[in-house]
Amino acid sequence: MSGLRSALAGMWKEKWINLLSVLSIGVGLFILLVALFTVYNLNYFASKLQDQFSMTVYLDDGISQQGLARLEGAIKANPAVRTVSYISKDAALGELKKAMKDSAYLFEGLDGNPLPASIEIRFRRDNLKSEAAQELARQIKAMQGVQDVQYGAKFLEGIERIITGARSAGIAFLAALLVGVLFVCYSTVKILFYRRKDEVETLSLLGAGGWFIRAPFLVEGSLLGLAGGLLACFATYSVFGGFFLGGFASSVPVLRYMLFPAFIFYMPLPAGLFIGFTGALIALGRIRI
Amino acid sequence: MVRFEGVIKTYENQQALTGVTFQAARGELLFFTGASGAGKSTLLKLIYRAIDPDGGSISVNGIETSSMKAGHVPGLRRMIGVVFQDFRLLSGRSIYDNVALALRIRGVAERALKTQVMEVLKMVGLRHKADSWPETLSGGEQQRAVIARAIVAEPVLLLADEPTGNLDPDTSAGVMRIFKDINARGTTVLIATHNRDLYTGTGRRVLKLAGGRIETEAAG
Ligand SMILES: Nc1ncnc2c1ncn2[C@@H]1O[C@H](COP(=O)(O)OP(=O)(O)O)[C@@H](O)[C@H]1O
Ligand SMILES: [Mg+2]
Repeated sequence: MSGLRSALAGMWKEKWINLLSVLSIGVGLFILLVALFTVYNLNYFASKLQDQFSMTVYLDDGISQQGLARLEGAIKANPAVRTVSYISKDAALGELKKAMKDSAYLFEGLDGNPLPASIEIRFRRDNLKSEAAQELARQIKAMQGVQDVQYGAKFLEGIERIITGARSAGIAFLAALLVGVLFVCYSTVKILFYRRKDEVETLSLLGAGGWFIRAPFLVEGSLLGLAGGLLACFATYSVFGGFFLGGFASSVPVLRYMLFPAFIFYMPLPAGLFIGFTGALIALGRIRI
Repeated sequence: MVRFEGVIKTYENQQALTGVTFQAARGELLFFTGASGAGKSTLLKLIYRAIDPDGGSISVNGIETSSMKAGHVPGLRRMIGVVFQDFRLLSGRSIYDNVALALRIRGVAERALKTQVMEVLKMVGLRHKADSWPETLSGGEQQRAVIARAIVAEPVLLLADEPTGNLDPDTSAGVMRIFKDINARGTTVLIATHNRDLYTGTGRRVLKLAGGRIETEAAG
């Protein structure tokens, strides 16, 4: 308790340095959140796009019931596959007619059904890699009763590139910001320590051990981080809560489909506390008392 | 309690102590005197390892300190109470907190510490200044606050560097009485002073420093 009191008194004495560092930590954490939010939503969009992805297996006209069952079973055995649905020749033609009912005359002279039966495969999210899809397509194509396999290879590669790109850029950016905020805490604590060198020396001469001397600075670093976190929380509430979710979002369609995960509203607090404490710990660990 | 054997201390090629040898017995009250710059402060600082000796050996309470590891220095300092010549009161903390600090450093619980602190403040006549800041105290009051901090934890050894440098004769006599009381309770007391009045007539040993060594030993 007395540690907290003397930490607060010490912080008040250096209020300008502390205010500056709280502001930097707050801004840093807020940018960090915006970046996290962006990556989160990019990922979300990409995985939604993945749901739309399907692979179509065109079948030979002469395929038997057993042949079909065997084929379906073999495809289902692949762990990436979520659902398998069979579309008969008739169903395919029906679909086509429905889609082109304005041009029904095209079908008048048609004798027999030229469309093949097919199997439509949908995949589990997260488990879909373009290489795996390519491999699966090659395997299926080699199976008996299969005429052809078609899927949006380029589409899949595109999504994949978005996800990995967003992830690695996001992680690099987040790491850089994290290091930046950590450095602010680190150097603030270091400055505070050197500005109180007289006091530190006196404590040491009175027989205080290293951690007795360091403890108030650790408390200060943690409080700085926490205050910065609080500031970032406040900014998040007013920007995301008011500006986005309020009037602005409904007029910009894209924003309406974005996710606002709860963590962006409370994460700055523990993050600030953790970064502040860690920064102080690193700063003090390197100081000889 | 304290033993010096041929102790040498050199500051940037200026020899402050050229070979100091003496022993202070447990329970003794002993004076160091000598002209300004004779090395009195240097001698005391060597005892609580504020500075390292350049030669010779020093033992405190049976512990050889000249070869002591840095990690053991805080423990050594906690056995000793020091009345610093330059006070070293912490600004931004009340007199009470300044005195309580000596106990907190030694791990005394907050509950147990209050009566001890107030008792010592009463002893040095600063009870009414417990909540004041150090800056608002007179030189003499600050001096007594430093003494209170040095004795509150009842150390086995008390070092006082010019403890009456800022005091009028009456208050000086009061401070000497405190040191005698502490000494009577078993604490070994070493006082560095150039104030003759402090030791004259006490009958205690007075070691006079000159030329970087103990020049004479006499009874005060
Ligand atoms: N930190 C220091 N750096 C250089 N010289 C010092 C230092 N401290 C003391 N001295 C010198 O050592 C000598 C002894 O000083 P000191 O022990 O303070 O004497 P006293 O306390 O008897 O007046 C003096 O000549 C002083 O100038
Ligand atoms: Mg001196």
